[in-house]
Amino acid sequence: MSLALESPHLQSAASLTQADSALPLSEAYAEILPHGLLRGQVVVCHGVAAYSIALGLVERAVTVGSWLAVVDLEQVSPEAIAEFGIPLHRVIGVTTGDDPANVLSAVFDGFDVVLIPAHRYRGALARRISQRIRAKGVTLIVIDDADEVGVRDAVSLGDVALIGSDMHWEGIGWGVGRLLARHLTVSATGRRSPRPLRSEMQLPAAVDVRVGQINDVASDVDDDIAGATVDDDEEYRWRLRVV
Amino acid sequence: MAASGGVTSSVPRVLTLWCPEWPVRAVAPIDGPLIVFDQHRVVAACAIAREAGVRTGDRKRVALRTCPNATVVPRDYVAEVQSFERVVSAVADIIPLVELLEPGSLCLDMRGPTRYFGGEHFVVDHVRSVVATQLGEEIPIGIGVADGRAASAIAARRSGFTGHQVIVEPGRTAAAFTTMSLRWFHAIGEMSIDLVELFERLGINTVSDLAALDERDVLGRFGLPGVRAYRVATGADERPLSSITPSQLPERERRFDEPLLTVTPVVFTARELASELVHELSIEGLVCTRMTVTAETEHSERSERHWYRSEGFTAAAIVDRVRWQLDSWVNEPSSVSAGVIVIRISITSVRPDDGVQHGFWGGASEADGRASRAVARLVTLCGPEGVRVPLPIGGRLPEDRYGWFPATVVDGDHHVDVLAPWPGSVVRPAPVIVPTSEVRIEVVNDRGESVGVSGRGEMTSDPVCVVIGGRSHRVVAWAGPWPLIERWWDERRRRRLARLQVVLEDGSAHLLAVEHQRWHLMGTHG
Repeated sequence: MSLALESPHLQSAASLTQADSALPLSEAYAEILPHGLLRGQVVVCHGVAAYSIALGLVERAVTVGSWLAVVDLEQVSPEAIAEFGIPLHRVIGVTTGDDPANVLSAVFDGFDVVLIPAHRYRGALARRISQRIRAKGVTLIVIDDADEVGVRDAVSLGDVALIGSDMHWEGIGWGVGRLLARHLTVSATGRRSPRPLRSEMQLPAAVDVRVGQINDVASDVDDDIAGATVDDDEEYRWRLRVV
Repeated sequence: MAASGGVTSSVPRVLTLWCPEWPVRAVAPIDGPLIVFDQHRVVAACAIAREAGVRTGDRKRVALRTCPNATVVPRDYVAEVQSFERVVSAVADIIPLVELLEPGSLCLDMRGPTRYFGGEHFVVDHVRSVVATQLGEEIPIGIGVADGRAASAIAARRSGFTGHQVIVEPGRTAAAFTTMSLRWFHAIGEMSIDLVELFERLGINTVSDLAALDERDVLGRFGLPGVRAYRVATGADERPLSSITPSQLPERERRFDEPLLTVTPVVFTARELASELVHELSIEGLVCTRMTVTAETEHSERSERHWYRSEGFTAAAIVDRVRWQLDSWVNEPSSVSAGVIVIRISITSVRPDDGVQHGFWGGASEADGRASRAVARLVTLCGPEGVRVPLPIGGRLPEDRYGWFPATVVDGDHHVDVLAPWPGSVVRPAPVIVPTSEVRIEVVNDRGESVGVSGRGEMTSDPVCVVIGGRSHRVVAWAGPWPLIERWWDERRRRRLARLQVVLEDGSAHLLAVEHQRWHLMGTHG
């Protein structure tokens, strides 16, 4: 009995309630956010890679069935969202217009993960928003790509702050090559973790063409078997036959 | 009596009146083709649009491609019920106990009228003449008589297309409909489109194909919905008779101390009554299929209508019908002179609830339902332009490849296709931020001169600095240029540009483009 429960594909009933309060994360993020992507939490992404960090953060949650609202961020390219592995049919873009408070509460009613720009999360509105998201169990991700924001400010803004550093682009030189991949170190600072946790990652995550195709199908499978993660290539092929 | 004499059957004879394309009739007549939509699907179209190839159930985009100059109107149930009201009252004047199925369709029990008028043909003639007086001779109507509601609904559909009345002799349902497509079962609400398509994939296309099967096999393979379809196909009663007497059926009434002068609070009360009734029935495992809604005013004016729905009434469906009925009642001239004091909903027929089996996997999850409700609410808050979904378009430049489209013009159940390869586009990774309006920039060399791209596709000198929004950033790496000439044959849409990737000192990477000797920011890897 205990042997069976050690299998990664089986979950005990107790772990289900845990999973309910946190949204799943990809491995690289799980290192810096050991409690998972908690519902009712505000995560602020900083720096020049803020958008990529935010998209990488929500990828797993949206893949397994949560819906993503992208609020007042018309400039975000759907192509990039898709490249991060996020299924576009669970993404909605919203423009709040003159009445952000009302529109945002309607957004919180329907979506698990919400992306907003920092200028929408300020002052009185921010206080109202943080009450609402705690009540509704929404994860709010604030994108703050303004330059020169200290980590100290960041913590006061949200529960967790993510910032990228040691950014390095692979494949490009002086007049040669092209952009291939971005490597960076993402560090998380939060109220719960005084010492920042760091993780090196590639954003968007590397995709081998062959595995990429398999991944597309596998992500559909994941819709069905919510939460189950399979790393093994052999396992993928087995599941594909089942589908 | 000739038609029904001598045959003893538990299945009641039913007459169904069906007005084809009723949603179109409810709209004020206009020149040119007209299509009525509900939830992005065609529900009705005028004759011109039908000629062009528009079919019921088409997606909005498909329909507009088939018939591009059509006027598009959203479905308005209240207007439909209201315009159908004169037909209902005209029929109710000669035969009481008319049951409304939906706007444009009603049915009645033939037992009494057949006796009274001396035969089914006479009843049909009478109904046809009173409806024709109301609507005019040129409007097509379908009248069908058969065993049971479902068969008579199909008969009415067939009659609507042929223009002749269809009377199916008792016990001959299967024989009469042998060659008819199973899609009719979907049209009359007896079968889900999924089940129809499943039957079609298995080669069961017509009513006779289905009737030829064994009932036990149908139950084993297709479950209760399959058996219902089978019973309709073989002409047996679609629902076994229930042993509950009408007096045991629940009824809810609410009297208002203060007469209500607007419809909304009455509907609000009806919502309460409806959920009480549905809850009470669901405890017994029952669902309501027929009900009577009665409203009375202070001056004893009265509106009473019987409603039938074969798939059963949910609380929301009851409330919808109450609203339709009340709206059309109060909008009728000289029908109401005082406030409403009583609203009553009586259940007159029930059946065991088959329940709805949710998919084991796949299908819509709870989160999907919540999101689509939120989208509907957001559209009313922000307007149709404020709520958008991402969709691929196709092209070589980041701004062309994907776009945000208003959620209202996209089908709710859309699935995003993968973009075809576009030779000449900059490959993965795509820029995350694509400016919505043009951002002018400067690209300069080590002498502070503007850098260009020659006609041969070479940089005139190395880019050293990029000026974005008045601030200068040093370039640490660059690649390109990649020239692109698009649509050279089109005067207005032709583009000739060269693209350049740069990495700046803060680690950010950008895609720049030079077009007509001017640089602009095409995207940022944010």
